[in-house]
Amino acid sequence: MEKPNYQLYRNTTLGQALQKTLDDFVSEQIIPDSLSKKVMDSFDKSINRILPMKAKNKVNFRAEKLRAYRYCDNVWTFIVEQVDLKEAIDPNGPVNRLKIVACDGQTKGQIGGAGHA
Amino acid sequence: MNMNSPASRSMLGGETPAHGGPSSVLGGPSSILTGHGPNSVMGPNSILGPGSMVNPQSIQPMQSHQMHSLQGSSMQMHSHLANSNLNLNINPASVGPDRNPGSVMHHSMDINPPSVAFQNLAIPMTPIAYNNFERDSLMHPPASNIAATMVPATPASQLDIPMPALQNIVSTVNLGVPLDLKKIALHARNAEYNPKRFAAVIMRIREPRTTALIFSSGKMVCTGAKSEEASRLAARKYARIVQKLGFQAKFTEFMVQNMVGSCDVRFPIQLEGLCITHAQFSTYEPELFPGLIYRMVKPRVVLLIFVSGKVVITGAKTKKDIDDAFGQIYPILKGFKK
Repeated sequence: MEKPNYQLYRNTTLGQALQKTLDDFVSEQIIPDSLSKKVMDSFDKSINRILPMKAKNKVNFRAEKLRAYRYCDNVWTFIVEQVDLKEAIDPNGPVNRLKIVACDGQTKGQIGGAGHA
Repeated sequence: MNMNSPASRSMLGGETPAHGGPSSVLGGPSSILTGHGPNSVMGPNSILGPGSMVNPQSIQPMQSHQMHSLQGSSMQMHSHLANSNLNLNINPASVGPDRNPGSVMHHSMDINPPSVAFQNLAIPMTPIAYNNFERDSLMHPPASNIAATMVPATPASQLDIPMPALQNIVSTVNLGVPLDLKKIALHARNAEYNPKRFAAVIMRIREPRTTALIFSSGKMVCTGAKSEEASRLAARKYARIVQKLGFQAKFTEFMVQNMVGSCDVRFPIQLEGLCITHAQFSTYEPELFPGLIYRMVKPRVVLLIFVSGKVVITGAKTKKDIDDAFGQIYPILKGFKK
């Protein structure tokens, strides 16, 4: 089965910057809207392919509580509370609430995206 | 077959998607019992209140197949039961637990004349089992306690008799409306839905800590509760969650399908001896499973008895079944103390 190209990485800093640039181009009528969509699709495809291969960063964390979880359409979602992200020296202390979205990675290991909720 | 139970009950039992509990692993508590013919010993028990299902065989769909092959042993059961019932007549004090006052008399009802001829077959269990009927009567008042441990009022000599504690309850509910499982999985918290592996949404709540399987037919199985009330409350909570997602869910046909209790008699048990003297009820294959599987006929439950003295009782529909079963097995186990 062909692995779907998840769009969740559009939420990353990189994705947001790209989207903003494309939006600017579209509003200045430098490129058509369809091209902007095509670029974003290409971005989805690339980042879904590259991340499992190249990204070797690991984050360890420990949460006080698993508030909620969900598994649907092959995607796990976890909402955890009072998360202590190790190695990330965060001046604000533990994160109040963290949402973890874990998709099926290319390799055996599950790689996903995370964002503050 | 005596159809004492409501039709809905037997229907639901037949199509329950997952029965849960060890009973399914063990081939179900019914496998020995299915020999009861139309003149089942359980027949006269229609006196019982609706809550106490003494004739759960009516649920078992496979019954008719095994009837013929087990004729012989069924006669043994009859005689054994009749025998034990005769003994139980001495013991009118065994009032059932709270919810079923109607069952006071139910032991004394069924004396099956044809079985008298076979009484010699009923050897091991009965005499030992009912010797201390005074204990039996003492055992019942605390039976209504959920976390039953010890009654304060018990005389000192009885203090060392443990009581089984409920460990798991499996119940079913019909919400009476077809459900869009994907919608439930996407909008409810703590839900898992992987149609490739299992055709139900698996949902959990924290209080009472339980798990529910929700099927697209609108039927639901609730497992993990430690008491009948908790199971019902949990099932209601799940029904409410489904309701809040926009389905016209009702709460109908709530039924406890299985209860599991466990107990520690606090002395080691010699399983080989027990297996030999109670061969007709026992399965003991230490190479396959370290416990002795004891299929009790009345109440119709299965007991797992371990050398360590730990006893698991399963296949029961009511707390009373578990208490009765333990009340019967305890004196037997004492006879096989290591």
